[in-house]
Amino acid sequence: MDNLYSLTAGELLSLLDKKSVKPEEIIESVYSRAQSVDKKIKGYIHLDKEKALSQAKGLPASGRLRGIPVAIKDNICVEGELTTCASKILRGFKPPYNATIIEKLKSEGAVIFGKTNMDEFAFGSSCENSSYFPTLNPWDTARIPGGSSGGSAAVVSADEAIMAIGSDTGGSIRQPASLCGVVGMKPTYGRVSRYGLIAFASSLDQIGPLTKNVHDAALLLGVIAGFDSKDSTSVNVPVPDYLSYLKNDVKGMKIGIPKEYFVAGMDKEVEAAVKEAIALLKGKGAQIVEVTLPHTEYAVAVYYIIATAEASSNLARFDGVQYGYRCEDPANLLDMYERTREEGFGAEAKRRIILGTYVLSSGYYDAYYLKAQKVRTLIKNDFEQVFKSGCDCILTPTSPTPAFKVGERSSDPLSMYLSDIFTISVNLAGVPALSIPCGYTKGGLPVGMQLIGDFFKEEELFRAAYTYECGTDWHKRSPEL
Amino acid sequence: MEDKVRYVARLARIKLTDEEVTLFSRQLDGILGYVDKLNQKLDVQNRTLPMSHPHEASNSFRADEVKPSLPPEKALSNAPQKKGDFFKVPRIIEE
Amino acid sequence: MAYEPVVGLEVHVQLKTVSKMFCGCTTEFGGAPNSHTCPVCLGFPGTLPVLNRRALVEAIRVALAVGCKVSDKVKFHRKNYFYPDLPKDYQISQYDEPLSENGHLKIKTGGGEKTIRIKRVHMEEDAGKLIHEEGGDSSFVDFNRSGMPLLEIVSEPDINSPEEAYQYLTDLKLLLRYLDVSDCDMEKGSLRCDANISIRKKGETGLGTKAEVKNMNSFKAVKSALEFEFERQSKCLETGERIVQETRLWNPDKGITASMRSKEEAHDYRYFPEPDLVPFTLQGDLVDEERKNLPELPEARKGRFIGALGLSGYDAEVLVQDKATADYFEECVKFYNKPKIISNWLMGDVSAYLNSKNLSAGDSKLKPQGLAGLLKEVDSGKISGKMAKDIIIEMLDTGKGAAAIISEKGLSQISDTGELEKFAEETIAENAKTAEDFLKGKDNALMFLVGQVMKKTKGKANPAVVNKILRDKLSKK
Repeated sequence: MDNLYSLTAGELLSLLDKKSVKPEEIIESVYSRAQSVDKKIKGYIHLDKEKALSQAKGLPASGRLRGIPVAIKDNICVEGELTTCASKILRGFKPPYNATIIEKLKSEGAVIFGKTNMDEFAFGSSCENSSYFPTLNPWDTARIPGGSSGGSAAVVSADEAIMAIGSDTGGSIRQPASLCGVVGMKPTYGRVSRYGLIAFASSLDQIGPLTKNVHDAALLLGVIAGFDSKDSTSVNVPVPDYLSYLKNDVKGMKIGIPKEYFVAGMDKEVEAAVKEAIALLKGKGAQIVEVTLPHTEYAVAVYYIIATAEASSNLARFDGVQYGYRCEDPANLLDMYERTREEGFGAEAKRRIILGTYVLSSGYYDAYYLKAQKVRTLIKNDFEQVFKSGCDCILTPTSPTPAFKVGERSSDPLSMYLSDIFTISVNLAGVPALSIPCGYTKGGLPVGMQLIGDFFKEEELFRAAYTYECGTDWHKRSPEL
Repeated sequence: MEDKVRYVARLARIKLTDEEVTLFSRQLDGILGYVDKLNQKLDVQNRTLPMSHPHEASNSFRADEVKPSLPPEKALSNAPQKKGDFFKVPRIIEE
Repeated sequence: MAYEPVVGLEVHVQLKTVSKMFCGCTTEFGGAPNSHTCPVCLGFPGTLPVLNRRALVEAIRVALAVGCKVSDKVKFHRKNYFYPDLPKDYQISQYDEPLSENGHLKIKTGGGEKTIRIKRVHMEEDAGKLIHEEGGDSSFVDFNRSGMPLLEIVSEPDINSPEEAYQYLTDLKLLLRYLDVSDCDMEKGSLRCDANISIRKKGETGLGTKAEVKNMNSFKAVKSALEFEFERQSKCLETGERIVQETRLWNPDKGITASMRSKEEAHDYRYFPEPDLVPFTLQGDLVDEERKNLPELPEARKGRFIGALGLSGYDAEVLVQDKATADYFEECVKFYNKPKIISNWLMGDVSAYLNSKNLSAGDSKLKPQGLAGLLKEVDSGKISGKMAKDIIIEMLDTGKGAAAIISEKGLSQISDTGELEKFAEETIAENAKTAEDFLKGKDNALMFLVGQVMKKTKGKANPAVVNKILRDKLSKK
């Protein structure tokens, strides 16, 4: 069968079920697609067809993802496979263990299919901060795919992967999903085990799916979610059958529209697309109400204090002793540390480590870190208020603009940080959120909207997103490559 | 700011060139200026508790049971430098 | 001018769990380099810590035993600094909300009992070990110790002499042994101690500039290092030299402390809450449960030995000082209810033997029931106390029962008066002159006759019985 690569996981699973295709054929198809288009996109860092095929030979007898190739962001540990966070400092690193989600994927029959490009250590919103090469947007290769899970979003968008795994600390799944026209979800903090995810900011990071449609996102989250005894921050809440919530019905659902997210200066086409989506859901019976998240304007500031502080400590271990890069001929111990980290880290990583070290350093802790933690409480309270008032979810744009041009923001870190203005609060609060395509600009660039839910209520987001998807065909469009 | 950047870079064990010190100082000034709106515009009550974590509930304990360790060759398989079953680093002078 | 030292001690104790604090690697001492390691305690990227419940419980037991207030919240912080033995380049420790605070330990001093306040008891993880190449330009890292559970016990500066420091450590170690939470073996590093010392004029209450002294590997070394520091700082004050705040290393070979000259930068550990471990509230019953489960501690036990078992203060003190001996003693009392006699034997022949073999009472082949059996044989008159002293050595050597040794060697004492009367009559007949001497009032003469009877019985006669028989027979003459 031709064009297997262009199908969704749901479609492929029913073909596999009927025995009309074999897992090897799917791998061959997706691999040859990647061979032909990844030269332009550069979404993969490591991709080995033989390794994928050999996994297909040893699949379990059954499994929710049996025979489906899944691309993995390069900050998730796969035993014996290169895992580098797109950083020079981890060049050649092969972890002696699997991330918990890799074990879960394998036990459900998924085929681990390549490692995708990212901003180094997930520091960025454009995938330009990779130490290998930038990934480009399949809808316009002069533009960035978003980040930091830009590789995962781009390969799904370009049909070089059936589904992909990303990680989201401040929008790193949702923003690239939005910019590449795919579905991406950041689950509730604690919903998915972080064991084996190379940490950026431990209290914000979550692993989540990037897929071609809502069904696949629900399917993939169902596989990777759940309590893990190896991760004290994962929460022991039962995982519902997300697929059973995929009903074309939002009657009686109360959707909050936060006024702080529709402000002067936002991209007109983005605003129009999101407003149309609101109208569609209203037409399907959802109740639309205006809500307020009053501390939104502080979110980016709070985020860049907390996230960099945690990152500065999480990245201390990259010191050239147990693994990774070490500078040549160090004169002494201090020299080894300083040059290893100078040579091993890219500019954005250095900038964030220095900012994070600064806000934790003696004399500044209270003014920055402690203050940020307090405002984080206020931001979380904002969300709790909205959900307490009866809202089932909150709807916002995912990104204030469509994909921007390569190089456009790379010299101004602050403007880059502001790309995440609509996604960051969600991580600070810990609630789940999903991005789904909701239109295209006149120039043909995808626009995404974000649905935010209450703690551990991912199923509500799937239901709303699925209903919306049933009323549109955005998800059926593919970039011409 | 440049002195502070140098001090922090030393704490973080990152060597910076003079150009990087100048660039980072300027950029950090900008970022901290933005971040300072937390202090200027928002009067946070003292009773607001700092949030270090989305959930402050139950911890998962581990029972005190021995699990297999890695074989040393696996533990050392990524080491940039080793000697025998040891990780090797430049000599540390303690006195 | 009379000065006094002001000392605070920071004691690190390795808890006695079977697995490490945050991973499942064994805590066994030794092992080939890096053979007790896993991705977690090697600080591999992506790994996460999960707290060992046993380590927390043991920490709570210690906190309760020194009368600390146990916090209802358990919260960890990261202490950030770079060092090759620290795999993550931060240590998971506790900071502004330690597990417990405000306790105390009563110690015995020359002038009676003294209370040393304990500031805090908190949990943290241990680092790996560095080995420095002899004359080479490399150091080597072994992470087997990385992630071992540690307890840090910090005293207030209430200690005012090197002897008090020694006593504090001795009493603390005893307490920890009683709690069975640590091996407390300084040689294996399961107990480590750093000291902060300053001096002041006697009678003053302020605190001077302190030096932190490290690298002491025995209680004696702590005492010697403090003696040296006290002298050194006193001389500084007398000669007007300024005392600087610094870290000094004890050099056991030279018997001096020396400043660590490394250009140590000002510490800026950037403590912040460990985001990989969710702060959690201790369930009320966990602490109460442990409080109920605390064993009898040395002070209470000593009181009971004196009050209920009638031991002297000295005996009770000596027995209690070694938990294994005290346990042995109590076990023995169960089978033979004469505590004072048991204590004499334990503190005498038994401990002399065990000390010479470097054994603990718990390792002895002679079990408490066996010792009780031996003492009962003495009471019954079957053997003499002197015979028992020989038999006990064999029991300690072989673990055989007293009865078995007695019958094997035919050591049983002759108390059968019929048999002994025969020997007595013979002896009186053979030594008529001596018998006469006795009757004339020479008491010594009787001793000679007893000796003769003993000879005839090859020492198996009960001398008390022989004595009585001889007296009876002679008085009838």
